[in-house]
Amino acid sequence: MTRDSYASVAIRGSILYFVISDMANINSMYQNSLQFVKVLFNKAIDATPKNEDLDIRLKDLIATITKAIYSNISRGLFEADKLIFTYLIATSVNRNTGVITPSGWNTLLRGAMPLTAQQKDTKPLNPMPNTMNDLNYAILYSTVCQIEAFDGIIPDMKENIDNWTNWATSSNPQDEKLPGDWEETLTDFQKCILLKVFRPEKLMFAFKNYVRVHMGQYYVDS
Amino acid sequence: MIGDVFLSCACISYFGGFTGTFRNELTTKWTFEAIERGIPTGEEFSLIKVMGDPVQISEWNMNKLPSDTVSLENGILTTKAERWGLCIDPQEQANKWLKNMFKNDDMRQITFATDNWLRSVTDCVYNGKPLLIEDVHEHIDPSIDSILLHQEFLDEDGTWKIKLDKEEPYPYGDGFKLFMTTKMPNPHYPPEVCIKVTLINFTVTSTGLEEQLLGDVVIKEKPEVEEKRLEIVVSMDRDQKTLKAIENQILKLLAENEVEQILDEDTLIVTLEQSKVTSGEINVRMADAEVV
Repeated sequence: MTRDSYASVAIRGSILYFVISDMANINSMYQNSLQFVKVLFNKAIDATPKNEDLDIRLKDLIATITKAIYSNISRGLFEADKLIFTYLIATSVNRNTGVITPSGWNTLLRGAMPLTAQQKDTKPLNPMPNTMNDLNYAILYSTVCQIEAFDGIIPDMKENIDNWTNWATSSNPQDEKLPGDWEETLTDFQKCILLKVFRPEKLMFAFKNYVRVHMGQYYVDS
Repeated sequence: MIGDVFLSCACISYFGGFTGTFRNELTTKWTFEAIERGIPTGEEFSLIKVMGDPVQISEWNMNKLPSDTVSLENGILTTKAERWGLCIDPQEQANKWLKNMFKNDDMRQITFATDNWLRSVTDCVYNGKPLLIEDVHEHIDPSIDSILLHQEFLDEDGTWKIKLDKEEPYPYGDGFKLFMTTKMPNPHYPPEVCIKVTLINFTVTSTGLEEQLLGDVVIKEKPEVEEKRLEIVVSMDRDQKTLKAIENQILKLLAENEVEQILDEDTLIVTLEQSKVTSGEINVRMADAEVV
């Protein structure tokens, strides 16, 4: 159906609206009505340059709508909250497409999940007790239990403990490559979880990188 | 089926305040319990299928009620519930829909802060007009309690009356309807309010919003497609109405006739022919709708 081919645009609009309405939880001053977002949405459609090719047209539409709504809403945010706003947009888009799984998202936000009895019994010893405390190791182990991509990371840390320690103690781990194959096998978002385990204070910088890679430079310059 | 009707009652009484996911969870649980206890129930229960009237639903959609499941259920709750509806409506969608629906019925819109609002209430009760109270907060003024609790009674002279304030009973107009909306996104109503009203959660859902935005995009991008779609919706609506009218007519003619004479009755034959033609036309239009 002709109508359904535009669904991707509508989905982006709806994601943006829900991120905007979530911002009210951060600061109750951030109130934006659905009507206002709809007006921005419609104006952005008018402002998109025409293109005969439907695929290009859809891409253009999504890009302008995201940009227009982002710049209008972020104008009204405090500097400190702008990064959260863009990071929420980037992750919500990727959560919608399934690139970020619910379990991954939960781990990043809330840390370790409760373990089953079997998982508790088979929990190996902390491979890097000097760089990782038990609390953070619990997050790592719960991630390994839930996300397949992390399979085998604990034995690998034990084997290549020097490489891992170097990475974890470097001054900017978010810009360094991970040891071994992990740089390729983990997604950008899963790397954020690793960073939360080893160097939570660097997460803000990692979020900024994430937004730059997934949405563009425009969304990091404020 | 008995179970379906039973579950519909349960839904109307209890699930209005919840969001879509919770509603689904509740109905699955209830259906399971009903089957467990041997109450005859359809395989998959849907409030819209049991209680919804397609003609009415398309009318609601034309009046700007979003067409996703939750909104349609809300429509049913608002119109079918025994207790008057209190809509949790932060995006003002219920508000817009109600205003469109009763545009021609001379609906009064008030808030509890309007001057002389009680005067408007009594007017509406007296004249049997719909009444919309907007911006209701967590406290509902007790002066309308008798309306909320349906304390109208049949007077000695054979008319319905209701007591408001401490004055003489007012005549209770037939067409009187009361709706309340609140803009608060997550209100906490005390039990004494909950038992007087039907809470209906109109908060927008992602599927609902996608549907609405899709409409917006398509209007801008391919106005002819959206126009055609609306045209089809309207004409299908009209078709369904005619079909229903014809059905009723056939039934009426059948009831009025002696059994032996059925084949001699010209009007009946003509009506039957007509219904065949109409349903043929509808099928063609349905095929058209698929393409769009």
